[in-house]
Amino acid sequence: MLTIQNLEVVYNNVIWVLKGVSMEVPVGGMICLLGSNGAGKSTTLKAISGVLNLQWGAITGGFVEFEGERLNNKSPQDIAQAGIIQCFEGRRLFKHLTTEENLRMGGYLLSSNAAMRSRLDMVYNYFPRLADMTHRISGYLSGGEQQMLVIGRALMAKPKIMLLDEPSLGLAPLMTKSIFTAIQKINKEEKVAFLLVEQNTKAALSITDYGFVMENGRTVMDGPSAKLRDNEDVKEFYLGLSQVGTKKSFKDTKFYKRRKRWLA
Amino acid sequence: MTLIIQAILDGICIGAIYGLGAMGLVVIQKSSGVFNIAQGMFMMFGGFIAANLTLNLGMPMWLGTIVSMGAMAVIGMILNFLIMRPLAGEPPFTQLMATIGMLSIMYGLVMVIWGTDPYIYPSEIIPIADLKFLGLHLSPSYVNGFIIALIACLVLSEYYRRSKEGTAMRATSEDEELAASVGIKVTKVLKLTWSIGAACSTLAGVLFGMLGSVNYMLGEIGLMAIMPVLVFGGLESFLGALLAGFIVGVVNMIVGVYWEGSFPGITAVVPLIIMLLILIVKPYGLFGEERIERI
Amino acid sequence: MTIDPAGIYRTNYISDVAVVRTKTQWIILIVAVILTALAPFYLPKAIVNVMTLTCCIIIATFGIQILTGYCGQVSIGQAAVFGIGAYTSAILVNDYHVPFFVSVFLSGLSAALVGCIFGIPSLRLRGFYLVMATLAGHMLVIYFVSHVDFTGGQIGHKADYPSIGSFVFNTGDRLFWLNFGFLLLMTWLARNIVRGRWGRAFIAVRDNDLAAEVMGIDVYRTKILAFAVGCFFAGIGGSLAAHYTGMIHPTQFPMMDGFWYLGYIIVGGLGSIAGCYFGAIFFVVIKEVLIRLPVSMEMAKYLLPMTDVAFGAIIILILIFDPKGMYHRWELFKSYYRIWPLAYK
Repeated sequence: MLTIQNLEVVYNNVIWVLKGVSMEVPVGGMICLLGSNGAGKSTTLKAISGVLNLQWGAITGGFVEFEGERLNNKSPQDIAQAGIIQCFEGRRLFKHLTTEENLRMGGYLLSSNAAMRSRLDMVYNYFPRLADMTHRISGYLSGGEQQMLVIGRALMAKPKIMLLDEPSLGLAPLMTKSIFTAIQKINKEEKVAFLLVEQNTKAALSITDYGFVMENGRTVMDGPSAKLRDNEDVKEFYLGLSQVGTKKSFKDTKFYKRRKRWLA
Repeated sequence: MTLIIQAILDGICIGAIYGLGAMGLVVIQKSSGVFNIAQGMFMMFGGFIAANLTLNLGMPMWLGTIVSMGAMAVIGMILNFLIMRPLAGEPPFTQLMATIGMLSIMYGLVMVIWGTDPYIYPSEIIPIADLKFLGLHLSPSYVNGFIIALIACLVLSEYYRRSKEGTAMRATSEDEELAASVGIKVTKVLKLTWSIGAACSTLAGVLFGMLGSVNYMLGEIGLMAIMPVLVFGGLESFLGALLAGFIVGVVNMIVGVYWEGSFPGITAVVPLIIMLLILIVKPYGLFGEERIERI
Repeated sequence: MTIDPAGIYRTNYISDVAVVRTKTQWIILIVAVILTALAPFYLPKAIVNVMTLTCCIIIATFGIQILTGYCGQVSIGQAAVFGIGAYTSAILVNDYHVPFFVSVFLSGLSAALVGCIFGIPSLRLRGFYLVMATLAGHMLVIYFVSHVDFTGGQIGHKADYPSIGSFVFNTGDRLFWLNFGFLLLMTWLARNIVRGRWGRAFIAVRDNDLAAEVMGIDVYRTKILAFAVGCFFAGIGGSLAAHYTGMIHPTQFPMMDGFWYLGYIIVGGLGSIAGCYFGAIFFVVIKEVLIRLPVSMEMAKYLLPMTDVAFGAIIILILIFDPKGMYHRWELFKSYYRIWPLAYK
């Protein structure tokens, strides 16, 4: 459904962030995008949803294709209309609007009041906490509630695929679990595909089917999540389990001696 | 006693006009987050265009007003396109300075095109006779101002609160990037905002000009009049602006009645003093929303 | 931030903070100062007169640069405190016969005092609310000086030429040297304020005043200090201007001037003292060129308002194309020159 091939993105005409990224998201798929900070994961999402040029970035090579259409130079509004909705990093909301107004803005592209009403009910179904605070100013909600609101707002627009950028950022483990459970439910029941960027590798690999690992602007590894979980390199680099037993010491740092390099 | 009631009545009428002028600024602030300090100049420019149309081309007052509102709406859109769009996303100080640039250009243009002579409108928009009752006297320009400004304010306020476009405008003022990703056509919203804002001030400028004359000082006077209204009513609320307009208008008139004789010019200054005192106590105005900040 | 040439290391604090880095730069500076000081000998009188007034404007621009560029408090009241300095000096010298150099200093202080009063709302006001408050302050000051007797009200007030003892600065050349001398003194003062403790506190407050407060900087005191220092400079500038023009009147300090000062620092470059020079001189040159354009008598009356249009257009163009101002361009030029011919695009 969504294909990215050999994507190259440059910021400010100077900073080369993505150096040939390729991935694919099937219909109803749950894909995760892993990598340490600065690997280019958020940039990949922004390239898909079209907000790059609002941050002085541009796609200089490769393409993004959604259901057969090239999305390279389209405006964010057109991409949103096509069914790709991004939830930005850091729980970005319309802080001074109420919860319900935020949701209504999410449903801006819906055509009728009845459609709006039914989508609202659906979102409140998935996130009952939000129904309790429809008229509260969203800037004052707690972190978890704000994340629920962000996902709910994305859901309002009848997305075919949702791009989630670090949903578990700054959330308590229980809250993370409940949000991820909700994501799984939405994926199954609404047939919405998810492209999940996460630092919380363990949680991400547990709910997704397929994963891509990014490093320095390239995808260096991909595979079904189960295989990634068992992969030695992923375990060492992202899950903190080194090969030398459970206790790490600097004496055993092997990075510079390893033959295997991901950056060819 | 009648003097005070007269002052209050006049104050309410002129206050509605202040409120309308302030609303123009609030419209632009609500959606693009920019404090348009050139709003007073919009009022003056529009007033001058209407004066040209009615005095030189002989248009009836109501037509001249509508045409000048349309003309200023177009000018507002052009200013948005040329100046504010390239500066989208820049820090608020930059956008404020851009509006200062606009202020200066419009001031210069007014002096160049129309000079320093005052222009007096040929008639009121709604021709009515002087109202005299109970020893009080309401001149037609005041009544005109009140009725028209009130209707305009109410229409605008409902549009913003209820309609989808109004909420979209509020959302765009929050976060343009987010609004774009939700599907709101940000450029269309901003164009609409600037035209509505400019048209609003034009109407206020014409109504203001009807009270006396249209001259090159109107820009500064307009800005000085709008500022206390904005502080009293907050930069975020329409009805607040209207109510604040009433308060400021009444205070102005009462001060004028009692003190203008002994301290000439104090009418312009007392609302500013009150405004400063209010700002010290309530930094976001009486009805304004506090900026939500998390470190 | 200056980009130094490759291979330059700052090894101690003094060299890090130094204004002039190498001997060559010192020589260039001294030569430039001497050349400018000798201007009355090789430039026509009219230009020397313009330069004299420009010195006063540049001093006031230092003030607004410290207040807005370094401390982030947007103030449109600079023209009003300029006026306060002018009036104070004129009254002290003419009515109370205070010696000139004392009165300059006192007018700076009185402007600083008024500045503190402007600054009282600054603790809690942000952005445009502060702008409105300073604009209101400006109007109040102008109203006050127009309607009070001891300032001469609507008639204005005379200001004698400056004098030390029996030596009177009453020719164009002497006035130029006096003002230029003050300009150098004030530049030295401004530069040192800005690179020391106060300057760093101002920058901290500008960038994130909540974090500054948490770090131990008393934000309120710093903001009031910024207002005081900024208005001190404006007061000095005003007093020099008053004694140069000889007669002051409330209409010499209109609201537009307050906006212009912001324009000067935007065009010159926010956050740099050298930028003040660029900005103020640029605008003065544009204005003088514009009003001397050789057009017909009929068109001539449009020239002065066209300066307003030109100023506004320049500010907007700079904001769109180079918001960091001319000082940034100058820095880019220096860097380009230093690494030539190895330019990276």
